[in-house]
Amino acid sequence: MEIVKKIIALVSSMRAGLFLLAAIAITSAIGSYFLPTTFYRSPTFQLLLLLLLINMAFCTAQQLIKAIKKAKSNANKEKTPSASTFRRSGLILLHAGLVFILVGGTINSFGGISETVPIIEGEGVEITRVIPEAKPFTLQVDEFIIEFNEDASPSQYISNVSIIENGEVTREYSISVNNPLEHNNIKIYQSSFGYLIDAEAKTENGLSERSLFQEGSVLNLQGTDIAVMLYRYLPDFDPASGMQTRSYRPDNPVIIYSVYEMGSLLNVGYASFGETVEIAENAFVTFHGVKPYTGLIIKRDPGLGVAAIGGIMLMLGACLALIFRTKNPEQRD
Amino acid sequence: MTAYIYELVCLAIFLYIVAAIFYLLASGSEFKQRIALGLSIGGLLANSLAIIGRTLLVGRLPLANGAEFMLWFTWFTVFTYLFYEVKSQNKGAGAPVNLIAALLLASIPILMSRQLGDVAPLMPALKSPWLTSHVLTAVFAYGSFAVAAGIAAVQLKKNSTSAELWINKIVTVGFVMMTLTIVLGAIWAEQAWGRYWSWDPKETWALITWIIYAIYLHLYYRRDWKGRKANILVIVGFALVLFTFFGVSYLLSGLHSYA
Repeated sequence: MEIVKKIIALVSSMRAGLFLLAAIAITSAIGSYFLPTTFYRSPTFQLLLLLLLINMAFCTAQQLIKAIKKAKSNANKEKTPSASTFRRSGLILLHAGLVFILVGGTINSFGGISETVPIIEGEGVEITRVIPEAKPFTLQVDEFIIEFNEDASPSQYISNVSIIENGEVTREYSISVNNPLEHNNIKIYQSSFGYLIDAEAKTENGLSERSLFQEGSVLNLQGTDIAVMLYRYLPDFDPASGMQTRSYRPDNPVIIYSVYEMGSLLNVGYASFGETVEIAENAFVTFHGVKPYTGLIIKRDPGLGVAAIGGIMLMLGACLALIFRTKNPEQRD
Repeated sequence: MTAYIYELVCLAIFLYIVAAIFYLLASGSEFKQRIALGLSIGGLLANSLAIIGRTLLVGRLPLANGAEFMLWFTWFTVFTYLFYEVKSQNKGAGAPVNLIAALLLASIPILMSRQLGDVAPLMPALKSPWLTSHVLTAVFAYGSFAVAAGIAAVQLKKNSTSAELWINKIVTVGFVMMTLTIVLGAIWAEQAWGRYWSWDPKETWALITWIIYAIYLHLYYRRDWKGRKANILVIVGFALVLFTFFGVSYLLSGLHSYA
């Protein structure tokens, strides 16, 4: 029993907690520079967080037990709770909040899913394809809109979506930045967007091909050695600024393309929508337009509720501890 | 007023510098100390007018870009300092704090001059009611940490128990404000980015700063570290604040890029 007590004392000690905090600070500082994307998911770092969780859970539980005992023994003596009681409660709440946040994060790292899914206007995605255990529904994107400010900078990105359950539209919603959709504990966020290029290639012998292409994809003209790379869609083209669009507002939409023969570059050009260009002898390309797609983050975080409660406890606890702080730390019991 | 924001910023820098010089030379002279206090208040006034001018220019509380953040940062620094000086009757830290404020504010003309006149509307991610509380608590925290570091720097030379208590008091306020900043930011990030914590460089360095002050507070209350060591920790904490603001913006790119 002695040894168990000693282990618990060590694991729950403030010294160990401070040591872990320092280790987390130092390693994440190094990680933020050298491995900004992978470090925080590494087993070493996750272990540090887990150890901190264990340490703080024990430490907080001990403080809580102590406080309850004290409250019981004081129950007969004092009627009104003193400032130091509030302060102590605040500190316990603050630490417990951190424990909750760490627990919430741990739950999410085991059971959470978050994926960015591109969906073309008019199409949809089966939610179970992203989150297998979800209650099934189809998320259909009816429209993707970019709203603009007067200076042509984007003011909002909006995906108008429908939720389809058992073949019926049960809900319609406008997802925008800072305004996610929540449905059956799944949250859907506006994250990114892009365009597919509607292009048609024709050759002299009458072969024609029309399809939707991603930016950067290569279209081979059948029966020739010619290939066209659909380099980029520029919504607001200005020959003076080259390959950069002036804004995302489609004031002068063009497609930038490059032409290759047997793999070697022939030329680079641009064309507006509907215009048929002869890119090589008897080889024609028409860009009919673009079809926008919206990038939606589909997320399920089973730990979110716990973490949210933790966040609120942390804020409340910190404020309580501040309001009822001891005037002079030397006087504290 | 909107036409003179830049001039008001320069005036505030000038007044803070002169105030710092007067504080430095004033030792013992009541008269010079009063002039220093007056200059500092004058600087704060110019700083306030710059914030008001910027508010009128953009038609919202200016809390989005780096220059706007800096205007509030120095405002809270000097305001907290003046509160401390009046309440505690300690004047020793006037020189370092006003110097810090002047140098911080000088970063606007040096690094971010374009931002003062920038009237571009907010980008979609910033259009949120959380912006105000997240940034205001942040500047309050940063201002407190600046003052605590200024007092701690003076403490390294001549120690006073009263100043030591004040450092602890101010760090506590800053720490609670920073706790609110981080949690409010996390709530907002969950709405805007779909994740409450992304290990974005700004988040990571804010957490590192928060941890340093948490360690300071624990060691202080355990009475393990007092005096010199504790003061050095407070100064290191403020160095981390500065890195979180400048270093992360200029060296590490991430989600918090609102130049």
